[in-house]
Amino acid sequence: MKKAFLTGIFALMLSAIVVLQIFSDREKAKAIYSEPIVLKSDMIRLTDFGLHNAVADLLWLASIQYFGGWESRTNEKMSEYLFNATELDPQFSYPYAFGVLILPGINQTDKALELGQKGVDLKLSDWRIPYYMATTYYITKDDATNAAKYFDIAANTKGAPDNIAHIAARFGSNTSKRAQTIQIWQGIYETTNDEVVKERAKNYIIHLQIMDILDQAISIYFDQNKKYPENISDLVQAKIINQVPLDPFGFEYIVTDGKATIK
Amino acid sequence: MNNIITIAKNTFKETIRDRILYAILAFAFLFLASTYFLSSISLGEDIKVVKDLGLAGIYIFSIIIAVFLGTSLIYKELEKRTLYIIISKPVTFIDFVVGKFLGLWAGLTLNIALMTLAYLIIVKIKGGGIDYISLYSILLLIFEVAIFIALTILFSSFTTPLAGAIYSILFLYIGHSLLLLKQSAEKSEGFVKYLADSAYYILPNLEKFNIRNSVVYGITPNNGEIVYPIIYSVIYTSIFIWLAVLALKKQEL
Repeated sequence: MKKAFLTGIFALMLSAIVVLQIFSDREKAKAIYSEPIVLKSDMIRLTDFGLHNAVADLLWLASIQYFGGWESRTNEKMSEYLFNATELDPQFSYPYAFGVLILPGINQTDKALELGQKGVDLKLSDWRIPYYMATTYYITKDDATNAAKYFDIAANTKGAPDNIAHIAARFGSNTSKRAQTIQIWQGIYETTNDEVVKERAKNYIIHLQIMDILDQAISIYFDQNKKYPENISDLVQAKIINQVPLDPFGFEYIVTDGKATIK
Repeated sequence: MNNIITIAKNTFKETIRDRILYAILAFAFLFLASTYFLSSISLGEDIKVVKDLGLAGIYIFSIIIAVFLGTSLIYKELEKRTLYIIISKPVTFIDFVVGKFLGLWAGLTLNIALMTLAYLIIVKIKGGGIDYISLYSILLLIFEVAIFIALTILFSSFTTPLAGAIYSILFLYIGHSLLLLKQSAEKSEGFVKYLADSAYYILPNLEKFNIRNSVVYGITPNNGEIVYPIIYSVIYTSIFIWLAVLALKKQEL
């Protein structure tokens, strides 16, 4: 009897706990939401006993919860989380890339590019940072010059997948934009003091000029044969060009729908 | 020497039998296990998060154990008046303090080794392989803890455990913030600069033991980064032990 009574009391107490949690959640939902206060990284450095990386990780985890949560409608503190995490652990590359990817979506494009530039300046071996910067420049800022520049940085970053180099080489290479892209690379070639960038810019110009020449050759071939060549060798056989051109990036040129492109 | 070994053995046994130690160790293992799950929500940065939080956890729990056990080590002997019995035998104050220090340090090293084993297992399970490089940071942690234990023993010889714990943690905080002091010294002039500079070089700078932030990226420390802190630890530990001996001698036992 006593045991049953105590079990009943215990069950009642557990039920009360569940009910209280439900009420508490409802009250919380009614409360006016305020954005979290994100401490400045200098302040955190003062108090973390040298555990900067661990605190950066916790900030990173907190930023994911904040961004993925449902409470903040603006996510306005997201950039603060990411800047702080990267200031505490500058080598932690993913917050840079993640920031560049998601901040433009919450109207913080300039912050995204600032964060990405910080990562690029540190020469972190994460191709995603310049790659996402290139897409942000191209899509959000409509800035093909910087897009080309960052696609190239991404393609040259250690560990970048092969298709990134492919994308970088293809960027702006279609006929309608080729002249503009050549001008972009010409500008980079003439203004940069970095010999590596200069060499890369030169290669892009050569690459795009080869494609221009091949397009013209395909057009001549079409006029002569009333059909497009199947491959670049057909142009050599027809004596329109002397030899199959060598691409400075090592790509193979092919003919697709009457236009020169890379394999 | 025999006296030191006997006291060290007894302190070691006393340390590993302490119930507080088991409670703290249980929390430490719980924390290390939780890093496995925490890392799962890190969007692909699992191994980095496990390593960072794991090494931070080992550090924090080592310090907690050192504070709990170190600050009461000699105080207990004074309170229970067992020190009277010990020093009535042919045991010097130096034998006593050095023995206490070595016993506690050995006990704590054993605990650090157990936590490191748990850490290595978690990193391995997460797919990070065997994290040999982190063992450098553990080695330096053992020597950082030596300074800290010596400091807690020093406080334990003349103040209560609570006060000793507060002073020790303040020292730990200062030890990890001295770079800021140096930066402020660079901006200052005259006597303030001299004072800040002196404090920077004299106070125990514990940041030199902190290579956690680089080993997680697989950066192997160079010889200087390992050897200098170890020598620094030996010297500082000796100074604190010496001061603890002097503090005990000054008390009218």
